Amino acid sequence: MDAANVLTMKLEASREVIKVLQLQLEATVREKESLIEICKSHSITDQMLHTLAQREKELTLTESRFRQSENKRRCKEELNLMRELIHVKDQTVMSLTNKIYDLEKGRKDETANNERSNIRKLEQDELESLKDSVNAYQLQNKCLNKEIIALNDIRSFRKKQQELQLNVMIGKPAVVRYTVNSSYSRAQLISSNQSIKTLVTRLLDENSLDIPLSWKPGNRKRSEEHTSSSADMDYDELGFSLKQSDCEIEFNDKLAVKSEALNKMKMKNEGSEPAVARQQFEWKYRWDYFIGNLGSNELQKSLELKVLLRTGVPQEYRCKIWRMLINIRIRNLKERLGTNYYQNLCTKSAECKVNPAAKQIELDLLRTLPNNKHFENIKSPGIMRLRQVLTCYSLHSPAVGYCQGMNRLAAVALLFMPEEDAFWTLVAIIENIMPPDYFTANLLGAHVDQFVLRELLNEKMPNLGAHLEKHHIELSLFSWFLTCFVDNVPSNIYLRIWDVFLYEGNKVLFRFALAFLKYHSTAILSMNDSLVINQYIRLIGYRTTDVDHLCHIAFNQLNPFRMRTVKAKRLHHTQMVTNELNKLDSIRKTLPVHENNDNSDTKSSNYSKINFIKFRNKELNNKILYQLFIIYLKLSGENKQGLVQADQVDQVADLEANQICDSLPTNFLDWKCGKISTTPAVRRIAAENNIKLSNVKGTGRDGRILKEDLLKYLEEAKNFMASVPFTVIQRTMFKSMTQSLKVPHFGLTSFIERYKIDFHASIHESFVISSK
Amino acid sequence: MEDYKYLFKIVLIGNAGVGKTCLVRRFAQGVFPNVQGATIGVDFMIKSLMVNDVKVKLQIWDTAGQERFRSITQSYYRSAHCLILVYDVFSQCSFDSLPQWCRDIDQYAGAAIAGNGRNVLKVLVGNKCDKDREVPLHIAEQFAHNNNFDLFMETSALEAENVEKLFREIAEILVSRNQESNGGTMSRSITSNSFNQSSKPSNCFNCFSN
Repeated sequence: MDAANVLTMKLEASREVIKVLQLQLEATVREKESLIEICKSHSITDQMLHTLAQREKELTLTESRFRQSENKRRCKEELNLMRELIHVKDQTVMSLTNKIYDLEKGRKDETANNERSNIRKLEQDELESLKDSVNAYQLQNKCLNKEIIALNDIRSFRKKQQELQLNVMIGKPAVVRYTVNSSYSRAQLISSNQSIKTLVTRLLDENSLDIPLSWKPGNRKRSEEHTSSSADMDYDELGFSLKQSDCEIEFNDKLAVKSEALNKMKMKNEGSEPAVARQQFEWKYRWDYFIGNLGSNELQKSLELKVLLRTGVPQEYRCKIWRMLINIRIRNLKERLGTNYYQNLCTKSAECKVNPAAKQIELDLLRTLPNNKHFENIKSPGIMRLRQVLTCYSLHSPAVGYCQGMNRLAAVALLFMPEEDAFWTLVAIIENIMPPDYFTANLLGAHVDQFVLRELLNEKMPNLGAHLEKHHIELSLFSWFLTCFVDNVPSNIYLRIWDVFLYEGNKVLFRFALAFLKYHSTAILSMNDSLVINQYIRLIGYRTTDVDHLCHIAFNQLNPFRMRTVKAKRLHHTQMVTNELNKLDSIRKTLPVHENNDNSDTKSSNYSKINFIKFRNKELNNKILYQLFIIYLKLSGENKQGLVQADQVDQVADLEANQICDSLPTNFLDWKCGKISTTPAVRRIAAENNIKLSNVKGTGRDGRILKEDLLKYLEEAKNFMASVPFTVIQRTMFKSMTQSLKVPHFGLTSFIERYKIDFHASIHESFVISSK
Repeated sequence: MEDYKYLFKIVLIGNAGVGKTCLVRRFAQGVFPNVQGATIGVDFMIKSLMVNDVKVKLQIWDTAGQERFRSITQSYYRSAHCLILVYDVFSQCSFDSLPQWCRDIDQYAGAAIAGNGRNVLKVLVGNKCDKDREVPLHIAEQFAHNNNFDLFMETSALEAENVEKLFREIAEILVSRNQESNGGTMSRSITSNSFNQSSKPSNCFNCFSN
């Protein structure tokens, strides 16, 4: 059974398997069928596959194209981006550069500032160092000055010592001489009462209050006192300041000059040259002897005196000798004027309040010898006396009055003489020693002497003369000639000059002027710049240290030096200078406003009127307007005061006046105006002959100049010309000088001004046109 | 010797005692002389200046103020480039004589006009302005204006006030004038012409009256 069951179960299983297999079979068949179907449709799919492949290819192509375009687009985008980026970068770069620039600028400024401050600092440093050096120099200067002063002290001390020794030496022979003299004079005194009287009067005279400024009783004793008193150490025996402020000389020069002078002094004082000391001694001795012999007698002109004077007068005898020298010159005049002449003048000056010279005298009192203690302030005794002497002289000789320069003459005289004698010295110098007209209104004599000096220079030192001429330097040494060398020359030199000058006269001035030039001729000849030469000559006096050498040149090297030649030269030049000065004067006199204090009121009012018109329109030529105004005055008859003179129109402005006059009515010149009244005919003749009507004397009514007067004047002028034959040089001089006055000064001005006027006219025209 | 581009001559005139010499010495030497002798005749000093980098030398002539010395000093007017007329503000009198000085300048500086082809530079200076004044400033200014002065100044030589300035301004004006005249052909031709015409006689005259 089991087996049967198993078999049945197996059967059933196999049956089931068969069924599955059947099903499977069915499925496979069905698959087979479908496969067959598929196999049938296979060819179609091939075609489709092909197209598909093609499509696929196209697709890939388009895809690649798309990609390319995509790439391009992207590239473009990128490009744009990049561009933007670049732009932005540019901007940043710009801003950065700007910033950099700003920064750099800032830095530069900073650096500049730094530099500037550095420079400033440097400058300050430099300034400070300069200041330091200035201080140092000042210190040095002070030291040097101190040294100089110390040297001076030493020198003066040594000098004093030397002097003492010399005095002692002199003393011995002097004692002998005095004993002889005293015994002799005692005998003389006893023998005559007269000499006692003169002696007493002389003593009285010298002891009166009116003593010379430098004069001290017992000169020698006083000078010893002088060394002991320290207050007076700054002044020498004559009261001249030792600290003389000749600071005009440049520093170096001054040092050189000083050192030279000190050296010389040293040599002299130390007696390193015994010959010099002996000479000094002999010189003193000769003077002592001379004075001793002279006794109370008057000085007489003699060769001995002349030679002695040329060696210089010892300080202690100057008072006496100068007084006597002056006395020789004016003894006669004094007798004529009477003994009380000076006292009378003094009282007269006290009474007379209005003295035209007083103002100038007062002004110059303190400007006379400013470095002398006797004249240093208004209360100094010297100043009072100086005022008195000068005032008296201006009363004594109104023609001279007071001329700058005379104050120095009087002051030097006052140093050695009492007031009255100083007055007479002034009289002697101006009226006796100097040629006439030396100090008068136009300084004629002084002018002439400048020419004489130049001529003498060319004769004595042709080299130097030519050198000066080459550099267009014209010697003009008025200050020496008008003050007898007191101006710009040290006192020790001019006193030596005065010693001789008072005796020998004005020729000495030329001798010394030339000697100064000769002394320095090598120095001057080595200079080649006119300014430098001028500067040198200006202070030539202070550069001269060796007085003896100077005197040697003056009296020996310049010989022969005859008064006759000087006189001839003076005569020769006087006429010429007179003419020229007269010409200058007459030009001055024809000027409309003349300095004349009395009627200045009316004149100044007229003057202001001239000014008013003259300058109201500044554009126009002043001179033409001025002429117009003169003519206006004439035509209106307003001018009857002699403000404008008729011939002055011709003189002052030939050109314009003529132009204007031509356009005026012909009777213009008939106007009786100004001081000169005359007829047109006379004016015409005068104009033709170039005569100034102011010089012609009229004989008609009220001084009217008639034709006869003019003809007479012409005749005289011709005679005068004929009587003095001119040399060739004089003739050319006369010609060129007359021409020089004719030089068309104003004509040239007007030429320029007319251009101006034309210019203004054109402006005016253009203005008129434009306004139209 | 020394090199300088311009040399100008300046002449100081005016009444005696107005301080001409002190003015010059203050400028040229930087000192005020306490004591000063009166000037006799003519004196002169030199001072160099730098004006616009150009070296200028001033030759300053100092003249005597007294009336009778004018015969000497007048001859210096002609060659002057500049005339300084000085008065004293403390002294009415010195101011009152200015018109006369002006006349003199007009007369004697005539040749200078011809010689330089143009007017001489006229300067009015009131000195001593440290003192109490007698001459009011506006009157002096008016005067300077009326009389065609190119420059007016009040100075004090004592206190060195305006002294340097005065001369510096003068130098500047003269330099600029000179440069002008060198630039313009017209004025130059006038200068040279007139100079040729007048040089000979005026020289001759100078040598005479010096």
